[in-house]
Amino acid sequence: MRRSRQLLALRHRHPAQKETEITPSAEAPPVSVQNVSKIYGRTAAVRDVSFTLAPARFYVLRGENGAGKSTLLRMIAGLNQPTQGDVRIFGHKTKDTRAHVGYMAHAPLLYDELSGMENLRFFGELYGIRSDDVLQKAMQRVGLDPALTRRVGQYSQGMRQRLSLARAIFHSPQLLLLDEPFSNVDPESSTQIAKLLADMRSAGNTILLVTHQLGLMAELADEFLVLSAGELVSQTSSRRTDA
Amino acid sequence: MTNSLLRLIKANLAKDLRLEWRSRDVFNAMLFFALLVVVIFSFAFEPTTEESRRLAGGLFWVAFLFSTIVALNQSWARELRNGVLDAYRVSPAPAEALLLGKVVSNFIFVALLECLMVPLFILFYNLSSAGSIWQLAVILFLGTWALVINGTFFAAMSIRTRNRELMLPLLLLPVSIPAVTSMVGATTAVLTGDGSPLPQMKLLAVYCVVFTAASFALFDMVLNAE
Amino acid sequence: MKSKLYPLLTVLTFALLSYGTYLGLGNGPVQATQSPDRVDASPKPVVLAVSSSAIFKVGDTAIIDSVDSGVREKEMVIAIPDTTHVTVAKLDHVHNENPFAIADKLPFAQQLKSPAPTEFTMGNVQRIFYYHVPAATCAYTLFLVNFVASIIFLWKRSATADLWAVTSAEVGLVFATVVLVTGPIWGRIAWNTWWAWEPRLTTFLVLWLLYVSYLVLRRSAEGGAGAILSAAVAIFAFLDVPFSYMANRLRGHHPPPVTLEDPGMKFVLMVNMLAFLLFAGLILWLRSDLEKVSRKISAAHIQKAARGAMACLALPAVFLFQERQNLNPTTFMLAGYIATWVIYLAYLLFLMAKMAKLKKEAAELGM
Repeated sequence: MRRSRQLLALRHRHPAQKETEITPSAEAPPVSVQNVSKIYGRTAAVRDVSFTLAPARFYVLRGENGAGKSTLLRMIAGLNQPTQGDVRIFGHKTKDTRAHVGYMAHAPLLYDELSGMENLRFFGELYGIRSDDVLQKAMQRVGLDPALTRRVGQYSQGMRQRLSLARAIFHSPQLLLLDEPFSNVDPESSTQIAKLLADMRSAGNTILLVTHQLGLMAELADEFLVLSAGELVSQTSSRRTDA
Repeated sequence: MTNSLLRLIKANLAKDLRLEWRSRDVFNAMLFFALLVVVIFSFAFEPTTEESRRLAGGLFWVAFLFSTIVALNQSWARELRNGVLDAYRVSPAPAEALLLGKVVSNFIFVALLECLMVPLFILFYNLSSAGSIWQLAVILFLGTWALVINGTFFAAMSIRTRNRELMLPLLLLPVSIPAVTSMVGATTAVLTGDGSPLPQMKLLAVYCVVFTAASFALFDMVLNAE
Repeated sequence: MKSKLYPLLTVLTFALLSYGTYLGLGNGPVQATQSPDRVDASPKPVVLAVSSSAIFKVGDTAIIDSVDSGVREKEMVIAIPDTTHVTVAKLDHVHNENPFAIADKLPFAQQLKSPAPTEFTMGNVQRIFYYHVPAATCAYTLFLVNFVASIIFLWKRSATADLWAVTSAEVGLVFATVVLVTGPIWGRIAWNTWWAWEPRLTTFLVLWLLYVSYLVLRRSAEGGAGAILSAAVAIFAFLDVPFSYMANRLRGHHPPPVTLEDPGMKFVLMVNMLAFLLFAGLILWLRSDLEKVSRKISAAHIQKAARGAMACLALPAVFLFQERQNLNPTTFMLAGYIATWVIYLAYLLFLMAKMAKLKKEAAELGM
């Protein structure tokens, strides 16, 4: 069941992409990071990190401020290139799997001067999604009214964060990368986002979430990765799944 | 493939125009700047009709070169606010669509500005052209494209550097010298009626083609450079 | 930096440079004269009218050279009837340029010892040519290296290619500075103006500006972006050169190009060309070794260079002397030679300072 859903999702690809670009095998792990280092000037932000993520699991990447979490996530998202090592998404290079990855950064990644739907329509076009239905559904899923004409600049912090999540999930990515989605968010929005993530995981998507404070994640996560001073310290299963 | 690329360019263009319509931060800055340059030049020179025919080509393009620089920095600055550029970069859409969308929107802004400034120029400098107006229109089109294509490309480059605002003129002006030389030459030739502007217009056209191609070929690399 | 070739190459380069400079500065015998008339080919002896026959001896080889049409032949001088005529054994070609050149070919051993003769119209200032042209050749060569290395870098992303790109751009800029400083000094006498918007000169100025922005960009780009961004600039710079040249040709300023007719002058130019290319290679090698060490120590910022500042300061200053008449070509020639060496030495000092700093840093790290 899960596999057929995966294959179906993979067939949906942006028309601008070349035909040869992607047919990720369902066997390949969603994320495979091998000996990855990122060096800025004289400091190594990430040092020789290796791990593999299994499909349909919720991973939380923890670590203190400046441990290199965001840098690592950006490399997995294909925004930064590793100085050494290799990142593979479903067995492919990051630039070939973009249509199947959702990325939500610490910053909202939205245009302040556009309304919620106008933002989504523009980004939808980038993924080849032109139907308003899909986009409206994404907005409803994060608890926003698609009819909202207010510009994003006038949104509250929590609304912005939720719209940002809608932007990251409207194309039903099989791999979702999130950077501190709960910072500066009101409790109501937090629970809503947490529920949505739990649903996505149950539907068979892989989630990798970066945070420096556990909070709600203690209950959601299947596995924890801990990063300290650029090095991977541990990869452990949470009690919830062990039980 | 081409159809989809066109759609993407259109989406980028529509987005840029809408953003500009709502904020007007590019156009206002550019308009005011160009106005100031024209006024200051006319104070500084007080030319007679004959002189102004010879000078106008140079003044006109220098005014636009500098106002374009003001505009270009702004047009990329809005992609950096909230980190929106990252959202584009994680999407499967080709980088070229972003460049071309922005080039066309910047071209529209500068062309609009020219439509407003040309009458003002004629007024202030008491201009009348000795040559064909159509040739002037073609020169205006080619010259604006030459400024905007390189300007948009190098602005994308300069936003990646530490001193953004300063870097753009440093990169753009040297590369644009041949284009500026030929557009000023061609404009002056038309205005004064001395000699034919055609060789310079041809050179300008080739310049546009070559540098548009180069910008296209290298933009993906520049956008993802780190 | 430990290669044994270094001292050898350094000695060779500086020996050749001093020899070239000696040949450029000394006053050698004139070896060329001109003939005003058209002459036809003939298997029998031909009498040629010349400006002065004093440079020939019976038995010498004369080089009859129509420079523009490229017709050139060597014939034996068999008689010298008077001070304005020489007779050669035969002529294989028609020479119909007005005037064409006739030169005396010195035996090679004698050529080696003969400095360049003083040019007739420009006087001593023409000797700047022996520095100016080789420096321009070096600059063009280094910029070509930069272009090729940039393309290879964008293609293969090899750190070595990037290393050669950045070092060749920097060293190329030093030579370009020499060209831009010596050019106006020569032009003040030759064209009677410091600066002419002549295509080659303007192209060079544009190139100089482009490579300044190339290096500025490298230093201010964030993270590793500098290498890729500046490689793109290098490609734009290369594409810009033909346009720059064409655009200025269309503006219509054409000071006459200079062609060398005297074999002595040609020889001195070749010696200096070789010396300068060797010198450029040597500096490039030194600079790339420094860059390697610097990268080993850190990928951090490269120190700012002060090169080029000299030209910026010197150029406006020379405009103060614009009005003076009766300029002495020898003074200008010396100014050109001194300016060249000031620039080279300033750059070498910069490299020495850099080397000292890197050594200190390496020692601190215990490398």
